[in-house]
Amino acid sequence: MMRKGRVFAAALTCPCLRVSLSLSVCLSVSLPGTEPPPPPPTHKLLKDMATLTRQDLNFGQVVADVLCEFLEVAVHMILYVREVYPIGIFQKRKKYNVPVQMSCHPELNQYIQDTLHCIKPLIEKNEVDRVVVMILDKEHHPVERFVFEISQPPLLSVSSDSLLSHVEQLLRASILKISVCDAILESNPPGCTFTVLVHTRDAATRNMEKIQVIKDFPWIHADEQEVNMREPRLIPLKTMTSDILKMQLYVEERAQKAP
Amino acid sequence: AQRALEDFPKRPLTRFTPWFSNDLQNLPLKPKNHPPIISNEETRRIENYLAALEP
Repeated sequence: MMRKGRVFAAALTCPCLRVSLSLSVCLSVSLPGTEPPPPPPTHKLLKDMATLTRQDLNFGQVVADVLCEFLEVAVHMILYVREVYPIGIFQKRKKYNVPVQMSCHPELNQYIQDTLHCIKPLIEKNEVDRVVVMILDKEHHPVERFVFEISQPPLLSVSSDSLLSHVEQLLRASILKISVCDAILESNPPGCTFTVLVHTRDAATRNMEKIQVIKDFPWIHADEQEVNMREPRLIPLKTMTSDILKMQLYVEERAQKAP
Repeated sequence: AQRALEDFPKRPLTRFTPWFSNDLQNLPLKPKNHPPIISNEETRRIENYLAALEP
C-alpha cells in the first residue's frame, strides 16, 4: 500500500517544485488547487527578457533557468531513448512544441531535479563548461557520454523580437536530435544506470562548496575512468548558437559495448 | 521546376570538433548518491496509474 501511495504521489509531485523555473510540461497531472501557481514557461520568460534592458535583469540567472529547464527535459529524453529505465514509467508531454517523454517516477524525478538545482548556481556564474549525462553498464563502466558543451557569449543586445522563437527553435532541434539518436547508436547492454558529470572552468575543488546546495545531496570528484573513455566513437548531434547561449551536443560511444 | 535543378552557392562544411578536451588534472564533479533502481513492480504500478489517467 505504501508503494502504491508513492506512485500516486509521483504523479502529483511531478512538477519541478524545487527548481525556480518549473517545467510547464509537468503540470498536466497536477490536481487543481493543490500546487502553487505555475511559474512562467520559457517563452514567457524570454518574452519578458526581450522587453527588458540589461540592467533590469540578471541575465546569468535567466540563462541558467533556460538551460536547466532544457537539461531536465534532455536528461529525461536520454533515459527514455537509451532505455536506461523501463519505458512504462515515461509519459508523453509537450515541450518546445514537440512531444517529449518525461518520467513519472518520484525518486528519479527528484534525483534529476536535485542534480540540476545544484548545478544552476554555477551556470548562473558562467562557471560550467560541460554537463555530461553518462550511461554506465552494470560494472559501472561508461558506455555512452552525452556531452553538453556550454558557452555563454558576452551579451550585447537582447532587444530582438526574434530571440524568443530563435532560442526555442534551437532547443527544440536539440531535443529532436536526442529523440532520434537511437538510430545511430548501438544498443546498450541491459542493466545500465546513469550519472551526471559537471566540468567547471576553474578547478573543480574550488567549486565543490558552491555545488553543495542541497544538504542531503552531496557531490564528489568523478573517477578518471569515467572521464576518459577508451577509443570512443564521437557522434555530433547539434551545435546551437544564440545571442544568450551557445551549446554543442555530442555523444561519445564506447567501441565495444558488450560486457 | 527548372530552377531546382540549377546549381546554387554552397556554404563550406564545417568540421565538428569538441570545444573542450578532457583534462584529467581537473576531474569533474558528480553526485555521490546513485539514481534509483526501478523494479518491475514499481514500473507496473506506474503504468497502471498512467493508464487509469487516460480518458
